[in-house]
Amino acid sequence: MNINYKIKSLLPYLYIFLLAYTLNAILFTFLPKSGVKLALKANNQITYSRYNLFFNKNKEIKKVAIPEKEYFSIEQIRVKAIFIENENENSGLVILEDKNTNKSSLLSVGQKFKSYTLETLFNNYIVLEKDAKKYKVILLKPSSKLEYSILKDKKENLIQSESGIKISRAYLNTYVKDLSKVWNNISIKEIKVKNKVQGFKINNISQNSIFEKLGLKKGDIITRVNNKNVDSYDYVFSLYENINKIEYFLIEVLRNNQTLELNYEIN
Amino acid sequence: MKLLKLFSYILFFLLIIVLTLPKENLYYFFEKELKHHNIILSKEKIEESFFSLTLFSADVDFNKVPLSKIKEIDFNFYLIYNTLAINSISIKEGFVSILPSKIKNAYFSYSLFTPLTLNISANGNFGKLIGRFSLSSWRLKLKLSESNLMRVKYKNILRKMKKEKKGYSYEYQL
Repeated sequence: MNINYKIKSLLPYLYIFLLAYTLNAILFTFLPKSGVKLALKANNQITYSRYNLFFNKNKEIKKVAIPEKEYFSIEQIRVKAIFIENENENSGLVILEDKNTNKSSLLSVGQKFKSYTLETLFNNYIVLEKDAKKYKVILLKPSSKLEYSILKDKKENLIQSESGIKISRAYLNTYVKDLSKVWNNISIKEIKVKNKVQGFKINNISQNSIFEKLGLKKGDIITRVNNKNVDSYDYVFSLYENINKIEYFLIEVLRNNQTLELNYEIN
Repeated sequence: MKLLKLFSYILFFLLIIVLTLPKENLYYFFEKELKHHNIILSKEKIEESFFSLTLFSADVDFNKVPLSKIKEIDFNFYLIYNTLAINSISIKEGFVSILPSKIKNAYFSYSLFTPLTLNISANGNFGKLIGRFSLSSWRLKLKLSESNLMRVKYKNILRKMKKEKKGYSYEYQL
């Protein structure tokens, strides 16, 4: 009788145990079974060949062009810049401007601008699509050949010679060792399309800073450094970490309608 | 007597919940949430006990860039009162010029008695920091008693904060 009473008094605890255990078992089924692992790129080395820059120009587009008669034209949209990331995959960026409002937008293939969908990128024009009609918009021709020049540096930390621009490593190191000097003089922000970094835009640049002296300008979009797409903070940081081993910098920036190559040699 | 029984049932229920809580999987969930903010914890050793989960020597990467190394992270689950204690955060060399190099410890606590507030405290070579995060308005409020090092070397961080009579304050809306 006494044993029965004890068992009876323990039963609620057994039920509570089962209830709590079942609740946690249900919770367990919804929770992830493994953690997040850092996926590092197999090769973080900076590959750079100084001669590659000669082969970068005038890339040949292999896409099959749509016959001219299929195109319609749009008056109110202007193409300010085209940046082709991968010709075969038809990926890249384009800056479009609404002629009425002068408002610019950056978009990638598949995105919409004023109800037009960006369909294909070509070297000097783009194809937009709306209501099953294709529209061709030609890239604005640059007013003049894009060039860059360095500002004169009194202490000769930057030297412009026939072979290019030479930067004194000691001068560069003053920035490498004190990162706050970098943040105080340049402000950059990543440009993301579909959650993927496509480049870094210079939002602000201080006068007389090394960056201005090197010919960089506000509004430039840095797309490639040393022949590699600047598509992650990982790569930017690997450049910073290996800066003492780097002897040359080839920076590709998107300025106005053109890709500009900036070449520097670290002396 | 009945009230006492009910109280013992509730206590027993909470005890079993805490003991059988899938703590490691909850940590994986926390890791996935952090990943949405581009923060990844890696190389950590996990030890689970009845009421806590401890991680040892975790590397912290932000935007795939190695940012810091944490010696120990302690999650304590008591349901009514939960804490997260982080011991010894060392900032990687590359960031020392913009961030203070050592955070001795950081402590986050959450109590069911104040369900909409997460309390924060930390200290290190930057000084002492206390604050709270409101879960209702998603607003973070911090108060910093800065060290001399902050005044000399990390003026840039202080510039982003508001100067108060004593120390600095910072508010951020998530």
